Amino acid sequence: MARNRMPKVKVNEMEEHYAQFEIHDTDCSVANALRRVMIAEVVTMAVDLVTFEENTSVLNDEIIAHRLGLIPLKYQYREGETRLRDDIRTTLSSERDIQRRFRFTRECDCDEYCQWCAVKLTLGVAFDERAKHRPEREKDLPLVVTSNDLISEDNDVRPVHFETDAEADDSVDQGITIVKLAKGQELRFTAIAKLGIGKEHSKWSPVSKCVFRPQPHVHLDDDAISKLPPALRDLIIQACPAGVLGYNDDDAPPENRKLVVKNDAAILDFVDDVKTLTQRLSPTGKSMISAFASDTNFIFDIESVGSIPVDDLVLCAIYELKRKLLDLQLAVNDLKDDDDDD
Amino acid sequence: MADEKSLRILGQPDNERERTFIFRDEDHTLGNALRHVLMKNKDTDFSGYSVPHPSEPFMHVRLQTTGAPAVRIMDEGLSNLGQICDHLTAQLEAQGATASWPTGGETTS
Ligand SMILES: [Zn+2]
Repeated sequence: MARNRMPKVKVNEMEEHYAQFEIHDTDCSVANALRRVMIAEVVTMAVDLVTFEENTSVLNDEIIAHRLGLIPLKYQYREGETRLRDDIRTTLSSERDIQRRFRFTRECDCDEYCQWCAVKLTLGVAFDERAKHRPEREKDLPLVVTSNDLISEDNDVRPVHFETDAEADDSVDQGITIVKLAKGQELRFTAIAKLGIGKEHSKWSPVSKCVFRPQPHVHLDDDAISKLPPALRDLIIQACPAGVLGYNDDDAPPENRKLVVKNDAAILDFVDDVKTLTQRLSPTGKSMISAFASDTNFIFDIESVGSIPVDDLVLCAIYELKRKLLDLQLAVNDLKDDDDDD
Repeated sequence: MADEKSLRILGQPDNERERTFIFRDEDHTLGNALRHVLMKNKDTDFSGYSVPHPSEPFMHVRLQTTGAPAVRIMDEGLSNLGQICDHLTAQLEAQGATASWPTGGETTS
């Protein structure tokens, strides 16, 4: 058997929409597989089919349909209320996995779509109708139609919205803008949301940012740096953009401060500048910093568009990879027997 | 249809040390990671992957071993990568992934 390094995970931050974690003792190829699955192979739901009944807005049907596709839809498993599929083969995934609730339309035995493979969203906004309820001085202003006006027929799925009321109050937007209507204009349609993956169309991708970078190993020559006058130490800090290098304690007297790396992520980009500078400052011409990229440790930064909370997203991605591997292992073992017969 | 299969294996029947695996609907995502775990196997002599054409849904893995049947080593490779996945999941769950979701339950399967 092969001796494989088992990776270690260190979670630095895990919010609903943002996460940063480190994977240690692994290979770039494994980290990259995880990144690629998160971007392109995690299953989400997005608007895929729109039937327009009325569209007198300035945008044509196709553009509105495209804009609808890009609105993240959030699936929320509701304990005791959500009816899960009863035809699940594998218990590999968590019950919050959207695939425990919905099927892909192409794998469903319905004719077109049904409650197990699609969600219907409707919208009907007419400027003149809304204008009646607006204050007098706002009556003629353009009316913004947003994702808030979308009405989902399924309680488990809805367009993303602000996480908290405070966040909503801070924003000038009421939701995600679909189109603006002027006097006399109207928009009415039915949208069908289906399951899909980012590989098929990026509207199904659950991440807006998903990157990893090697962890830097930094060595600062504290002895040599402490011998420099404070003004020259400031100069070293100024060699990088603000916040990359800094002092461990800004309030301490200058001679007691220690130069430290404040932003591990950025130091690799500027280490050469610092190297050259410290070589010139040093009486012996020796540089006072060295940094190199680790080839076993990686830092992931992930931002979700809101369709899936980040922690679920990472786990879903690993499940997806695992599911792939199990299927292929079955296929290999099927063919293994053929192989023996040859 | 033969082409619809998720996997095809090419090789000489009298030499089970060398095989080319043709995965359908797979790409660099699996290819590179699989290549890596195969390389880690002490029985592997050579392992490499390629996506011959970007508009075709195929990914090739070439595997040559020092003596063991290549198909068995591939099976081990897939299961090793699976173990890494399990391990990552366990580590993430141990560190509170899923627990911080404010509106959801605490349950994890
Ligand atoms: Zn259906």
